[in-house]
Parts: sequence; structure tokens; C-alpha cells
Amino acid sequence: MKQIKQIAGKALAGLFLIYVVVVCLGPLIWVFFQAFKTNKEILISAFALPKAFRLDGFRVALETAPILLYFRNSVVISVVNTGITVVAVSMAAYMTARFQFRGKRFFTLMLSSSLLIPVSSLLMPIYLLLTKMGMIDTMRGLILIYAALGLPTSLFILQSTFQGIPRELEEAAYIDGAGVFYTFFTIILPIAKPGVATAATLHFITSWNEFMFALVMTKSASVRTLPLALNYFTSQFSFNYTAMFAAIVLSILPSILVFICLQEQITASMVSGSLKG
Amino acid sequence: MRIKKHILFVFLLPCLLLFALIYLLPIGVVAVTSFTSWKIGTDIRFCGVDNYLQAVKDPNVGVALLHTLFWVVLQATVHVALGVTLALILSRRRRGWRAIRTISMIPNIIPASALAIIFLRVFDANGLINSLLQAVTGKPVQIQWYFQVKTAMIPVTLSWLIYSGLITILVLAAIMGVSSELSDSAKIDGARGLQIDFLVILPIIRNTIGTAVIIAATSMLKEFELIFLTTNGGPGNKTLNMPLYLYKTSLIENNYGYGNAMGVMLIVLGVGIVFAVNKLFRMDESVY
Amino acid sequence: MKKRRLAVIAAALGTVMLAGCGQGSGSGGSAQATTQAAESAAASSAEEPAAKAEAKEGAGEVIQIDYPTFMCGTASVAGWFQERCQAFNEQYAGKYEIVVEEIPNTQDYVDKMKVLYSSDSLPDVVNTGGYNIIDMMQDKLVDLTPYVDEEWRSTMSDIGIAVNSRDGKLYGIPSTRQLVGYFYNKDLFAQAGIEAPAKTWDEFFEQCEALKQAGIVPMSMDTADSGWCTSLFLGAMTASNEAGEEFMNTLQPRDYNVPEFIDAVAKVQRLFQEYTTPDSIGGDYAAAANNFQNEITAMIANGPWMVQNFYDTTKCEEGFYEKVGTAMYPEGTMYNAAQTGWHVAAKTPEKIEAAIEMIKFMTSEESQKLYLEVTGNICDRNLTSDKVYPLVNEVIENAAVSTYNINDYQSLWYANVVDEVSVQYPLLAQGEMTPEEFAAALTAAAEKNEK
Repeated sequence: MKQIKQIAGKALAGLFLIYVVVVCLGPLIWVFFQAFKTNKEILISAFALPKAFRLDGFRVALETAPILLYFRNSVVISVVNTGITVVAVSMAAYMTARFQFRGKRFFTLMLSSSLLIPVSSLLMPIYLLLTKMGMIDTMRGLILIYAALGLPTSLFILQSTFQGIPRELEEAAYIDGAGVFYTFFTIILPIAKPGVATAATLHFITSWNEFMFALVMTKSASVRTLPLALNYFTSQFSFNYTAMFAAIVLSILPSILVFICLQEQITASMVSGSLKG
Repeated sequence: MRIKKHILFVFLLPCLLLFALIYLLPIGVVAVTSFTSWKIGTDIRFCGVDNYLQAVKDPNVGVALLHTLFWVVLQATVHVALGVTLALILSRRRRGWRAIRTISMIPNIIPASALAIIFLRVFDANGLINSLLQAVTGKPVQIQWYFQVKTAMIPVTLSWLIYSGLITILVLAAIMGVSSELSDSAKIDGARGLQIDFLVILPIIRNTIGTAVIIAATSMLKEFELIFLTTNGGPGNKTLNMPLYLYKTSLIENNYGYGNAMGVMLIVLGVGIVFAVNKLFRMDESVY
Repeated sequence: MKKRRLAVIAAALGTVMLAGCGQGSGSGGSAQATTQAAESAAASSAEEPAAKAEAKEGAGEVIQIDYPTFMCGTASVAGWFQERCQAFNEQYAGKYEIVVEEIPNTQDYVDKMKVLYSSDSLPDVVNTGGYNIIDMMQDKLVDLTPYVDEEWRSTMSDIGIAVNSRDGKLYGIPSTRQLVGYFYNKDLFAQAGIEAPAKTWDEFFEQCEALKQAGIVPMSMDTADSGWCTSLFLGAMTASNEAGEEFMNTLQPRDYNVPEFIDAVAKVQRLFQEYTTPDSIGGDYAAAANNFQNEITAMIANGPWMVQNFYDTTKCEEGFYEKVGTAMYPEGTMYNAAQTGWHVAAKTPEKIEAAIEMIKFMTSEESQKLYLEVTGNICDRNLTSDKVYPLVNEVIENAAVSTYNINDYQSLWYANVVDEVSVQYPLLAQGEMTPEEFAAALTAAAEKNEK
């Protein structure tokens, strides 16, 4: 009886995994194949394989939109702002996770509220602000906005990470006379590496794909980001789906690479047994 | 634990600065202007709670709120459950678990515009779903899933409900953080796989699950692109939600005052959700 | 002591933060330093063009004209603008320079202009490609009347001036005209035994039936993005008498409860239910165009800019253009209207002067002729050229003899009404709503625009 149950459980789990793989990998494979089809093939037989592997889509994509330049900008902006968010938020999250202080609940609620503000209401005030600060059409401007956009989600993730770390570790450090800074940066953060990497990954992906602020706050090609390039291929009365999907492929690949790398970091830190409960 | 004021201040400062710069001002503008009559090309003029009264009477607000809440609840339950289930399975670290973890995240990496195109094709009259149904039933099926009154909610909801990769990696990281010694000792006590999952691991990572619920639920207070790019809220208003209605009000009707009143309603709703989840999962308390 | 600790901490933090892909950045030591370096590099590279421009300005007093454009990417006018912009910058080198911001999508373009308007920072020159911003942004647009002399004025069409004027003031220089009939597939018509496009709507529906009987889907239709191809027919059906023509020339109508309109909605409902492809409900322009270009459907309503696609072999079979015929709508109706053109929102006299020069250049006879030849769009000036696509010339000839001349709904109606159309079409198509209810829904949307 127990064996049957176990086998059934394993089969169910297996089925579930297959479902996940199909549903999640399907879209990626589909996008990938579209990049090699002609417009006609894409529109007439959406799920057929390409008749031939033409690279025209990639050529046209690179010619039509300044993809490489936007790509560079995206890398700089995403990396820098992710760094800022993660440092700023992990410091604050450590405080809220570990210590009691007046206004703590207010602080977290206030930051969470930023999770809820609709982007369309933010556009104009932020535009005015950046203008005043001379940051319109600069990478600094976008970096600042994106860093702030990451506050709430990263705060939640890091706060629960810190709460999950046993207190004994740092208490020992404090008894030895170590300061808060030292303890935080040398003891707590390394242990919280998986959470930090998770927050960083998610925030990286969010800022990599952000569109509306990038559109409104920038105007020069030298500061614009990759999501803006995808619109080059569909205007109201003309379209080039082949090139658009080629551009999408070019923009997805780096995200996936970053994701894999950061996830490997998490895994490595777990496996090496750096975590002692 | 208590902490010295100046150290606390230094640790909170970067966050506070970012918040003050990018959010405080807009929140102020949104809140204040929600009590004004403000349309593009006209002067701003104070009008008390008129916008809120209008919202109460506006049938679209009612419908949009209802849909938004429906999706919040689904996302907080089914979506999170899917993600946690996958995380628990992957935490056994059977062969290929890393690959599947990465794969589960892919839909979150693909730009929404691409995902929307894919879903439109899959649920098209000649799309994948109808072909499958045709093969099973043997009869020609031509349901326009996205655009029929009775079916429109299904593909729209599925386009985010089934993609819980984000929840999975959050929860998986937390599970891996739970020391293996803990579950080892549980094993010695005679607990088996599922029992360990439900009785030992899940309670310990309840903070993370609470976080996951908050992130999933509140994402529905912002979900906009996947509706905008597929049904645009239609047919009629059958898939309209608050963020989309807000977008239409501010950027298509250019009625900023009214749009911002909806913004305030969304923020209040969201704070309520965060508060409730916090209480429910007792997230203020440390685990150890 | 404390300082050293901080340094250690920073380094440790760095490795956690950006250890990223192992070997790559891990070897660099403090990632915070990397971060800062990257940021300053980013900042300096961002400021580079500005700095260059300043240097130039100092030397030769070049006046820069800020102009965000939708004429880029796959837009039919992209090539034309690129060439003209270069030509202008060369001709006026050392004096004026157009600084282009590319915004490939007209919807995004208008969204951004609204934000810029509300924060009082519109660029020097604006051209929305026909989307009416005059009534919305009048107070920030320059009245061009004093800058346009008789000679220049005489090159513009009367309707072009009318569309760009409010209370006798000229807020835009007309540059394009909207001439739209419909295209049909001669081969498919022949297969169904149809000799010529219909003269009345009754005949039109007979032809649809004949095509259907011959196993051909008559119409390419769409509902997404305001259902362009569908709504063109809707407007043309409305304008089958004088009252309807007047309605289809009314700017921002408030009341759609008009017999001609309701009658037209009923006709469109019939088209949806009997004479189009199943993918038309929810479908976008691309799908509709594709159905026509691959000979799945026999008719599509669209403007002459589509003609260049008939030559594109990634979109249709070689030689497809030979099968295409042009027609005006039954009862002799055509979209024949002027569009809003080039606006100036510059603030200083020098900038305004520069902007005027640029617009003069863009609407010169040479530029307009090229526009007609290269893009297949119809220019405001009354020009002919033998280098134009033959099908485009046919459209122009049709327009010259049309009985009812109307403007298109995207230029006329409130933006939120246009948006409402696309969410109500599916209900109409499925019989979930009557034509009267459809009209009532549009009226309700229009009423939201009360100031």
C-alpha cells in the first residue's frame, strides 16, 4: 500500500514537472522559431516550424533599431541600479527584521505602499523632478528611478531572509564586541547570500524589461534601453514580425544568462555548506 | 533587540532617500490631485470628494474592482500554491532540478508584449487550444477564447496564473536555507516526505510564503500589459481591471484627477492586503 | 580602525552583490568600485553628445531643433524622413540642426507628448501623424499665422488649412492627406463572377454573398487597436447620404444615436457574422492585412501606404500587386480629408524661426513629391508624378470623382471613443449587443470628455 502511494506520488510529481516544462519552455521555443520565419509564415501558420533557417530577421532587426547600443545601455543601467537597490534595501531590511524601533511598522508600510502605486500616475511628477535635478535623458535618472522601483519587493524578500537567520550567530559577535556594521557586512550578509541573490535577480529582470519610464524619461539613443527597441517593428500600419521576434530573442538571452549565473551562485553557496543552522 | 538611533538612521538612510525622491512626491501629487478636477488643457481646481463620489457611481469602477479582487484572491492562493508545490518538488534535488528551476522562471523574463502575442495565438479561433479540442471531440471547434463574453476571463487569467516561477525561486531559496539537520532530525523522529514538508518546512518558511503571497497578490493591483495587449479590457468590460481603467482614464481620457482618485483607491486596497497578510502569517515575529 | 573595517565590509559586500558570473567580475575586488566606475562611465557617455553639441554651438552658433519623430523603424515614412533630415542638416550645416528622438509607435508618441505638455516641456517641433493634439494643447502651440506668407500659404490646400486652424489661427502646417478607399483582389472577384466593385451597399452585400458562395471569404476585418479596417467600412457605410457625410466630418461628435450611424453598425454586424474570417474578432491590422495579402480574403479597407507591401515578397507572393484593384466605397464615398501636420512648440524666437525653416523644408515641393513617390502616402500639395506606384495613382483618381468625402474616425473622434470601439466590436460581432446599444456605448464614452 505504502509503495503504491509512493509511486503514485512520484508519478504525480513527474507529471507536474512535465506540465511546468511544457508551459514555461513552450513560449521561449516558440519565440525562438518565429525569428527564423517570414512574416507570412508567422501569420498563417503560427505553430509550424520555419521552412528554412534564415538569419534575415536578425540582420533587419540590427539594421532597423539601434539594438547593440541600447543593449549596452541596458546592461549598465540594470547592473548599477540593481547594485544600489540591493545594498540600500539589505541595510534597511536588516534593521526591520532584527530590531525594534519606533515607527518600524510605519516604515515598512510606507515602503510597501510603493509596491502599489500605478505607474501612469507616477510619470508626470517624476518627470518634473528629474527635470529639476537635471537628470532627464541621463542614465543616472533611469538608474535612480529603477533603484527606487526595486525597494518594496527587495525589502520583502530580504526581510524574510534575515528573519530566517538564527540570532545566535550575531549575538555571539556582539558579545565579542563587534559593531553593527561589522557584524552585518561580514557575518549576516554572507549568510543571506541566497536571499540577496534572489532579490538581485528579480530586480535585474524587472529593470531589464521596464518600458514606460525608459520611454518618457529619455530621448537620446545614447541612454535608451532595449525594451524601446522592440517597438521599432510594429507601427500602426506596418509590421515586421520576423525582425521583432529576432529582437526579442536578442533581448531575452542576456536575462536568462544572468538568471542562470545568479542562481548557480545561490546553489553553490548552499551546497558548499556555508550555512549552518 | 534595541539599537542606537544613529546607527539605525545610517542603515535606513539610503532606502529613505530613494523613497523620498521617487515616491513621496508622486504619492503627494496623486493624493492631493485626487481631490481636484484636473483634465489635460484645463486648470486644476479643487472639487472635494467629487471624484470619489463619481467612482462610487461609475459602473466600470465596480466591475474593475470586482475583477481586480477576484484576481488578487486567485493569485494569492492558486498561483502561490503552484509555486510552492514546484519548490517542494525541486527541493528534493532530483536530477535536472536546476534546469527546471531556470525554466520555470523563463515566462517572467520574456517581455509581456511577446507573451501576449503567444497567448493570443494559442487561444485564437484557429489556435492550439481549439486544435486540441478538435482532436479530442472530433468536431470542428472555433471558440474565440479571448473575445467571447463567457470565456474571456479564462485565457486572461491563465496568462499569469500558471507562471509562478518567481514564487518558486523565492520559496526554494528559503527551503534550502532551512538547515538539512532540521529535516534530518524530523526523519529520525519518523516523519516522511510530505509530513516533513507540511509540518516542519512550511511553518518555518512562513515568512517567505507570506512575502510570496504579498508579491503575488499586489502584482494584480498593477497588472496591466497582459490585458491591454490582448483584450484591452473587452469584450465590453468583461476583463477590465483597475490598473487598466486607470490607464484609460489618465492617458486616453486625459482625466488626471479622476485617474488619481482610482490610484488612491488602489493604494488603500494594497496597504490593506499587505496588512492582512502580515497578520495572517505573523510575519512581524522572527522565526527563531 | 573603523575606517579599515568599512573598507573590508565594502569589499565583502561587493563580492556578495555582484559576484555574478563567478570568474568574470569576482576577480575585480570591490564591486562597489566597479559600480561607481560604471555609473560615472555611464554618466559621462550620456553627457558626451550634449557636450559635443555645446562645443559646436559655441563655435558656429548652431541652433538645435528638438524633434521627436514616429517616422522610424518599420513605419512607411521612415526612409523618407531619414533622407530628408540628413538633407536638411547638410543644407543648413552650421546654422540649424535637427536633433531627432525616435519614438517608433504613434500611441507611445502621443502618450509622451501628453506628459511633456503637462510638464510644460514640449519639444520644438511636433508631428503626430494625424492624431489631433490641437484642441488639447492649443495653449502651448505656436500660432503660425504671422510666419506664413501668401506665397507659402498658396501651396497649402484649403482643407489642410481648415483642419489645422482654430478661430482663424493656424496651429499646424498641413503635410498629408488621408485618401482611403478599399482594395480588392481581381482574381478572386473574377472567380465569383464579379466584374466591378459595387456601386451601392445592396450590391456590395450581393457581391459578398457571391464570394461566399464561391468559397471565398469576402472581407478582411479586425477589432484590436480600434479595428482600423472594420471602422473604415463603418464610416463609409455611415456616409451614404448627406446627413451621414456630415456626421463623418464632425469633429469630436458627442452623440452617436444617429440613424445613419446605427444603420451602418447593423451592416458591420452582418459583415462580422457572415462575411469575414473567424480570426477577425480580436484580430489586429497585421492579421487582416495578412489575410488579404495571402488571398484568403477578397477585400480590405486601407490607405495607399499599403501599396508598397504588395511588392514585399516576405509578406505576399511575387507579383501580387498585379492582382490588386482599388475602389471607392459604394455610393461614391471616399475618405478624402486633410490631417493635422507639423506643429511648433518652441519657446524662443530663434528656435521658432529654426523650426519654421525645418517645416518649410519638410513641406517643400521637392520633399512632398518624394513623400508621395517613396511612401505611397498622399501629400497635401496637389502634385502628380509618374514615379508613383500605379495603384496609388488609382486611389488619387478615385478621390477626384468621389461623391461623398469624409474624414476618418481616428482623426475625428475622441481618443476614448476610438478605444471603446475596439472593446465593443466583439460583443457586436457575437450578437451580444444591438447596434443601438453599440451607439449608446460610444455616446456614453464621448460624454466623459465634458470639461
